[in-house]
Amino acid sequence: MDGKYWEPEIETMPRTELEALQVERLRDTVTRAMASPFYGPLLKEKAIAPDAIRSLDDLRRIPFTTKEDLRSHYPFGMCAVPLEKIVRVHSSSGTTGNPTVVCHTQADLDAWANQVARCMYMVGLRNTDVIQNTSGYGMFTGGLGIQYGAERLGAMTVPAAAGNSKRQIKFITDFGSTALHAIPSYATRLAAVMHEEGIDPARDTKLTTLIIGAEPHSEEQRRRIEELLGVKAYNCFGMSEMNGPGVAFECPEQNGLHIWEDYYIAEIVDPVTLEPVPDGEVGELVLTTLRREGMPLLRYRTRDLTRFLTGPCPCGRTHRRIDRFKGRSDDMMIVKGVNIFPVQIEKILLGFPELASDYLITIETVGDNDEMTVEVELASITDDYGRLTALTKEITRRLKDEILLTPRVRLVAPGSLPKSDGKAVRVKDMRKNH
Amino acid sequence: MTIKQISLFLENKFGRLSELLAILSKADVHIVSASIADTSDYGLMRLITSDQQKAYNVLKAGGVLVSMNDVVAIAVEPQAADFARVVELFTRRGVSIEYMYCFHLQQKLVLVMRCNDLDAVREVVRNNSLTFVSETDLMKV
Repeated sequence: MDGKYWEPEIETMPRTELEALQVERLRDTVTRAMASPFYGPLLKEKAIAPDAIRSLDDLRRIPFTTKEDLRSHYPFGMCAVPLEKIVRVHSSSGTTGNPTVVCHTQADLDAWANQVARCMYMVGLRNTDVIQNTSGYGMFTGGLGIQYGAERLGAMTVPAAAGNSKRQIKFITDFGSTALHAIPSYATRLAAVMHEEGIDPARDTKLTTLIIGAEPHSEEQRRRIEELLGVKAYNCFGMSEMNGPGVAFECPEQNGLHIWEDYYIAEIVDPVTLEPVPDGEVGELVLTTLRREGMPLLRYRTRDLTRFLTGPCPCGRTHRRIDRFKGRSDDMMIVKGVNIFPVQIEKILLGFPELASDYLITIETVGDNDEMTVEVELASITDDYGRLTALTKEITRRLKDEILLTPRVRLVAPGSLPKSDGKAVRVKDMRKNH
Repeated sequence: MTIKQISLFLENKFGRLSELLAILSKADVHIVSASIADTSDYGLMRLITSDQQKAYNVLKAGGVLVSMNDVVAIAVEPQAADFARVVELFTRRGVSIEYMYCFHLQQKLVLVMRCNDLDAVREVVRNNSLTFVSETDLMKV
């Protein structure tokens, strides 16, 4: 088998059939959810019976589930099967309060591996590929999620895990890794280390494909990474509550991420009114699992902001596409009454070849006002002092056009901005009331 | 007729100049001239040493944001009248000076300039018997 699709009949299923499949699976999901300590009483209270679900519109009668619900039912209050059926738990980092826990049965893990394999197959990866995973293994789903998906595909896997760039590069060259899974900032870092070591990724490695996710990045940043590593980079969306990597994934068109609608029902709602937004408008992504046994989730508010891309995809898949993420509804900064997302600022900064990709946004209260400072690392200079001044002015002007307020722009030396655990720190909100 | 000038990006941060100079010390070169133009956020340091390529390589390897370009260097007697004469000749020939600074070298005053029209500079120097400073002259420092 070497066609274009991992599961042709599902990936290209006509919309009417796909939606009928969703209704059927939603009914099963609600039935299963009745057994969980969280959903049982809730569904009873709202008088939602599985038999009454006849169309996707019926979904809207079900209340939303939030991260707080998961936290307050820590650890197993969302579980819909007896615990002996659970074979693995994953958990998100709980920086405040309880972490969120997700319980998987063996069937859940199998379904997840298939979903990730489908994504990898979609971007041309086959059992002849060597897939190296730079995600941390353990409770974080980027490790085992990619691992089992790549194994299901039949590829040779290199579970290198996080960190130690020199060792990563040794594996890439020695094992002939053709694909890499990395967060965007780490992919940039690897490219820099290769450069320092005199390794030309295009000449000295077999890398063709990069799977990037878990960290917001702009199209400009993706193109830069592709150029640095000589690869095609595909955007992967996932979250532990929805399994992990592979919830939505870009096809070779690199124009939006197909969300697997045989696994999830996707809605996009206004984060304030919680009403659906018209197709094509940005709102918060809400997901309902359709294949989960261990821990079904109904209308889960992801806090991720995106929009549906309208129109069919030339790749032939019928599953709808969501746009590159616009930020998180809880990452949104409100400065002087304006809603601002860090990606908007990043997009502008990456438009300047004189700048490197690291930046830091600081918001602080000066007197009675909120003030924003954008520090950005320079990539190159000339002897012309006036050019630096002009550059600062031009950055300020373009930022103002994008975010509608005037930040203070400071050019800083490369490597001088803070990093935490290798992930770049992008926003520092020092306002008194934050 | 031109010499190499190194420009360094210098953040306005306590201790940064000291760090940069520590890196430069590893190059083991003589400093011919160092000048800093600054704003409240950052400065640009312009540097001429006895071995520019060596200094550039060491700074680059040390992770310093650095660039190298050509500048005109002309030696005159260190009197205001001589200085004035060069600038006047340039002005008359329509040569603009983007920036300039000076240093002393073997009892002469060296005028370092970034000019818009190098052909015109060459013509002025030839027709008025002025003297260019070369990189070989700097190596003797």
